[in-house]
Amino acid sequence: MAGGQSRIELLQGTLDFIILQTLRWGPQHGFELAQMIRANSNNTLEVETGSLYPALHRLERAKFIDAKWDRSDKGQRVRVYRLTATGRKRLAAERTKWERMTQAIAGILNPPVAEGES
Amino acid sequence: MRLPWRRNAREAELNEELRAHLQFAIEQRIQRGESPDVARANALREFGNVTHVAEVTRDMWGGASWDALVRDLRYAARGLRRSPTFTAVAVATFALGIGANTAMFTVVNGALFKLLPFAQPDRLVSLSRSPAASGPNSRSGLSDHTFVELRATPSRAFSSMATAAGKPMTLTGNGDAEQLSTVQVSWNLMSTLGVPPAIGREFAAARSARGDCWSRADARTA
Repeated sequence: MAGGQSRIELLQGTLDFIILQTLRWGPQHGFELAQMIRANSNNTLEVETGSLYPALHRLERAKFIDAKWDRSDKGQRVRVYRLTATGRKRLAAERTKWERMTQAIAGILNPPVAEGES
Repeated sequence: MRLPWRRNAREAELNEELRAHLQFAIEQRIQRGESPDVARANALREFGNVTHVAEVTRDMWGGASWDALVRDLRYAARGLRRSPTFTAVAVATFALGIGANTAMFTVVNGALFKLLPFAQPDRLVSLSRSPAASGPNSRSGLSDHTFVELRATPSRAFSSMATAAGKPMTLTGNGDAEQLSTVQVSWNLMSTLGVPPAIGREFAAARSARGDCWSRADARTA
């Protein structure tokens, strides 16, 4: 993968969350979405097409997003994905979960100094 | 199961979607100064195996995919052809199993499930005696005497009561003596069951004591 070690491949589950979060900024087609995820993560997160499209179609099937055909600025026919109401709810739940997770990991990385030590 | 022709349309859409992605990637690279050929090659490399991406995406559509089903069936057929002994045993097992089941069901269906071919079969009951001495599970028929007595007892439980008892009888005086399997019935059995006589008329109560004798020809056509 271009960029080598500086880019991180995404974990399953995390990708769904990131896609839903990114679609919060408005409807997008697959390529735009991948670009935006990369840009918003300071080029750290690289979504491969082999993960992106399965995830989009999976989320669509779960009705978290819906899709319709549209034309890009240059007239290219594109499949545009949009967050649904169910998707918004899901995103809120995922976000809470994610925040708890990051706090927990932060706690593990920087354990509070126990009393009596040092 | 997704219908194959609808699936084809959806696959065409998926291919278009992936092609569009590739197109955007190429254009972006050209804008950054790559030559069209290089841009295309790099975009393709970055995209990965298009067929594979389409395949894993299709897997998300859910339901058993038609292609996978056909593939599995072909594979199964090849396997069966390769081991004929196993196939023969398996087929024989299925045949026996299905045959035995069908036979069993036919019997059970006829004996237990199907209603008797009489009028109001749900209101028919079979009466028998269980002598106190031999316990409630032993059943014996009613004697003619008991039957007559039961009929004479005023009861609102039954609108009609009839008896039938299998009784082999010997027919003589017509060449060689012959044993007939007969059923002795009360005159009102047919009317109780709601079955009209196929030939002739119904037995009359008055004739019951004497009994009617049908010729064998009558019995056969009845």
